[in-house]
Amino acid sequence: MIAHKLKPETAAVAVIPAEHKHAQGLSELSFKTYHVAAENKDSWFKPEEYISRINMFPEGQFVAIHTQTHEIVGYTSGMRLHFDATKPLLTSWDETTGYG
Amino acid sequence: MYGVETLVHPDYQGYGIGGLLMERRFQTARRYNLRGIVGGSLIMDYHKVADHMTPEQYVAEIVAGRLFDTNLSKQIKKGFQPRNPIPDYTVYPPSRNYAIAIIWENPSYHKPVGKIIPFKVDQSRWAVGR
Repeated sequence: MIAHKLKPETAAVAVIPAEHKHAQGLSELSFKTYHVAAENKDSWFKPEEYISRINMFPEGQFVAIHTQTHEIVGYTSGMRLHFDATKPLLTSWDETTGYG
Repeated sequence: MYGVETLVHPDYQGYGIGGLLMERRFQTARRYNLRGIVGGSLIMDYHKVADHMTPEQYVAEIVAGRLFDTNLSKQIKKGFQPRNPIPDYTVYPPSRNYAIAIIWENPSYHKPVGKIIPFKVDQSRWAVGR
């Protein structure tokens, strides 16, 4: 466990816009967060998919980086979507995002 | 804006990093005058009660504060409002493949100014040599 490094009084995480150079780290973060087994990694999200999201809407992609270890510890991704708020959202994640 | 995903490294969960990330997305929504953020919340603790509760009942319990969901409860706290359940959102056994549609409305959104309608000019008034 490395979480003790991040007690509130010593918090050292910076949130910055995601860039292409973060793509490999984002792929690894995804393995860890979703507990992807080694044998399933080939069918999981690849760095290119994070690059594609950054190219589509860079203003909606952010990474949280540990400022001492430079490890990527968090990620959030948004995309532009025309949405009719008077109707329920019923589409699957794959359908809305075009499989990510 | 659609919330594609938000991840926090398992060793770093519980320190408010998800909140910092989401705050940046709220900022983007405000800066670009987007109407809001919509997404599907994977109700990851639903499996604990799924045998005797529908997703609608589960959400009502969470809104009332009687149950806690690791995803949805935090999103409600950040300002998202739950709407309808989405069956078959993605393959995710803990939520029984359900997500709850959640919406954050941008409080500073303003409707863009409508099309400018040009007023008609009586050309004859400007005609030369009459």
